[in-house]
Amino acid sequence: MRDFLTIRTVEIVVCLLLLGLSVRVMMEGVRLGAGWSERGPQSGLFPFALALIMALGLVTVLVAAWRERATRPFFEAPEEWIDLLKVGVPAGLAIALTPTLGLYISSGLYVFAFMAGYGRFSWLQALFGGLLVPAGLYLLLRYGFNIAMPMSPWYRQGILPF
Amino acid sequence: MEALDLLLIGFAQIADPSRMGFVLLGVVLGLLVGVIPGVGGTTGVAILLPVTVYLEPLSAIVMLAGIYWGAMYGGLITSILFAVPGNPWSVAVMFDGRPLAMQGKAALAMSAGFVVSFVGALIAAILFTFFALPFAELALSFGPPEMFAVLLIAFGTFIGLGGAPAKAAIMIAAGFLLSTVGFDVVTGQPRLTFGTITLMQGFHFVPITIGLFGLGEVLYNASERYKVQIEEMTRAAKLGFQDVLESVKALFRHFWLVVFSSLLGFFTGVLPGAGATPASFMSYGVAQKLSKHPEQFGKGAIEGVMAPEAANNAAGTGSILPMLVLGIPGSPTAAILMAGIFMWGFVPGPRLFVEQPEFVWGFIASLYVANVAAVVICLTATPLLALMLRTPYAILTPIIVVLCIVGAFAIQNSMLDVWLVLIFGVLGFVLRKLAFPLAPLVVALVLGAPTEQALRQSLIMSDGSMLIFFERAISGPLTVAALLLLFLPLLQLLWRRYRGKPDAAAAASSG
Repeated sequence: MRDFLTIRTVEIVVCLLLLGLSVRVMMEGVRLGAGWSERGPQSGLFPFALALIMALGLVTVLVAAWRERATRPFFEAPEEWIDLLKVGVPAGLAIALTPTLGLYISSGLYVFAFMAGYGRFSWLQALFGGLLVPAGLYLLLRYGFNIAMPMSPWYRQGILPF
Repeated sequence: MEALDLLLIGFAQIADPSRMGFVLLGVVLGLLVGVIPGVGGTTGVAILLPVTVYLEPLSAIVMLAGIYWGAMYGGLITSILFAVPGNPWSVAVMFDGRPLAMQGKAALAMSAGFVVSFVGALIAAILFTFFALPFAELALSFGPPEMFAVLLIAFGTFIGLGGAPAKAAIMIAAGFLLSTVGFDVVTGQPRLTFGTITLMQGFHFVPITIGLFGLGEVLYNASERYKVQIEEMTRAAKLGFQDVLESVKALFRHFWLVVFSSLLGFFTGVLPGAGATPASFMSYGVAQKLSKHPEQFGKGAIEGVMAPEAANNAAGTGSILPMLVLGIPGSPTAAILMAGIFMWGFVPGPRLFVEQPEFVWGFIASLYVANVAAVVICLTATPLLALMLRTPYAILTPIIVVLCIVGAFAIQNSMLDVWLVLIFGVLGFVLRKLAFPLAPLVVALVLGAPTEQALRQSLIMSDGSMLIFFERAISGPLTVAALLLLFLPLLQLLWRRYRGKPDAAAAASSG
């Protein structure tokens, strides 16, 4: 892991991906018309020019990364990516579940699971946290500020108030 | 003294107890946000933005700005105690703050930092008071070419003074491109939507900011977590009266350095696009050059804490000036404040000074109040703030993530915005690891539409000739200055080649 996943490799991969994206945008710019009409610049001119600037910058960074000899590993220690996954995966899941389960249920599950799993809190404490956070949010957003949040399917059926 | 009269009106506006309460609330929230690893001031302001729709405009802006100021003070604590700078502008303070903490002088370093932060912000607030009106009057005479020239300066500063020209250019172009997604402002044609209806609404910058600075920061902190022993260091967070006295003495010993750093900070901050980060590095460099014992820098010189801290607080205040006067935010936080001003029904720009003097001067008066509050809280309650750090990570992190979702969704009730937080959170983590600057992307995203509009209107005025930017009395020098900034890295490169230092030149081009 340390040896092949270096800052340099990641930089090259990211630059190539972005370079692909900027070429795609340039093509789109040409399709929209990247020239001048009698009404001034056409719709595609600015996207085209910006994608070109981006591509030039990317090539500069790419060349520098290619020549780089003294690179560092992307993750200096295994703890880095282990902790990243332990924190990042639950956060990603919480976000991914919000459209289907609604904010209040997904955030409750998330706080509960993270406290019990990552934080090694007791089940009771985690349950308390998992109920308290969404309840506090509900009171604040629903009654305090009247801001709408994504709701659960049971809300639409009239079974739950959130 | 017209400015002083107006400032008094501002103070009268802000003297209202509930508004005063919002200033204090903002400062306290900002201090907390600054201290807690994983949320910076930018995220704090972004998450709270939707809530402010329900407040009256002046209360809303003083609270959001209070978060910004508070976070600047709070970031100092983590920077010195744990070497975890919560914000990029707290990095320079770490060079000497961290060694001082290792020598057991953390309390002195922190109290000196707080005291100079206050002095820096105070000097900046005074300059703000007297520069605001002349700037606004000048800005009233600006047409599209002048606006475009100033916008060009903003991007020139990111590229010329940011330290990583190629990466800054990529981020600016990317931000601009994101802003062009949706309908063309002039022809009404959909652009870069690739046939999807979802993309036609375009990208709102708040979810992207929350992703890059909120979730991205959470992920970055997670991976750095194993390095920090929080429990051990929180015990060092005690400020005695002796430390405060000592730091006031240090302030008078290095008084002119602090004043100079504040001035440097303010004017760098006013430069649209520069903001607090380059200001803090520049004044650190100046302090080292002016010092009688430059060899002590990096080993715990108190000047190394004082100069960047004064500069970054002054720059933070200064960066609000172009936002308020021209509608050109110099930093992501200023961009969010500007979005707020639109949301509350006002339009930032010179006319704001004429049409809403109570709002503008109330805000300027709050600069003084917020900084007095911040320094008093910091000097008395740092141990309490540091206690926040003992809040278990496993409780704080999910709360921050959930607040990111809430803030992103609330801005326009769109599920796409929640996904954007996830996408830009991961992207923010990777880009931060690769040392790409994130601020230019957000600023370019916000300024994309006005820049394109200014450029197109200018070209319509001149029948398509670019010379219009050079011919007019104000836009001419501004455009030349912007171009100089844009090409500064290239000029430096050529100069180094000419002097025969190929290594340094290669290093500059790789940045």
